[in-house]
Amino acid sequence: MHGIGRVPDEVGHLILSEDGAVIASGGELENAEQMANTVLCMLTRINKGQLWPGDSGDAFKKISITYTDHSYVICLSNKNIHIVKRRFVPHEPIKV
Amino acid sequence: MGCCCSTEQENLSQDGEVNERTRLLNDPVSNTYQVTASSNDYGNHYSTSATKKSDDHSVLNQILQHTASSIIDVGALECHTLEQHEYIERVRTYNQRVNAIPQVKTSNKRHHEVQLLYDTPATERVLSAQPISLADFNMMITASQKVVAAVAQIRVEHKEDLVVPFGIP
Repeated sequence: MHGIGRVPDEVGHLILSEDGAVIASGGELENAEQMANTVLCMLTRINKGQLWPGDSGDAFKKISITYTDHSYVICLSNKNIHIVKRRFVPHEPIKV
Repeated sequence: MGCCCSTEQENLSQDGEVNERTRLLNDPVSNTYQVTASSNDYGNHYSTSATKKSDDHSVLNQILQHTASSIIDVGALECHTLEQHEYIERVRTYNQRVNAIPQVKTSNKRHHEVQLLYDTPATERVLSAQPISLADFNMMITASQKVVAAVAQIRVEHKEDLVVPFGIP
């Protein structure tokens, strides 16, 4: 279980079971069941084929939903859905 | 479960008949106490313990009974173990029940989920990864804005009449 502070710029986290039950939550996503439902709908209703034309692509490692000031990062681990809300601090490449 | 010395017995013994329950001292305080607390075994026992040794035994027996009735003897339950054929029968029944449950819903969900995201052990590393660069982010924003603008400008250009006369001489 991870908590606030382990992921940089994290402001909230949510861990769901595969059927969408909240296993752990914290920060701004504490008990965010609405968010859990939204993410679960997204994961279950979108078919990979719709996003990844052709048959070549693997499944995704993570899904990021980025807004101008914050982002949600979603990944699957040990059959649990991990969602982290982070402040969006864009990383600028160093130009030489 | 019998009361070791009920008030009835006490009254009998105090009526004059001399037996092993007769009090040596006439004690009205103890008597009233017994009437009010006759249901209290321990109180009864306490008030008459000076006279009766057999009462001790019956109280002890009562305690034993109490204890025995509140104990679950696991060893005795062992003899109710399932017979082999009974066991197989139950396995079959449960399997049938489980198979009867429609699995469409759960399997569908799992199917989609596994398709979209793969299970990764390095949760923290994945979640802590750098967000996309501002240049990429801006590019996506402008691209999607252009797409929205383009979709909004889709118009049907009609070059021919919508109603065309057929076969009219």
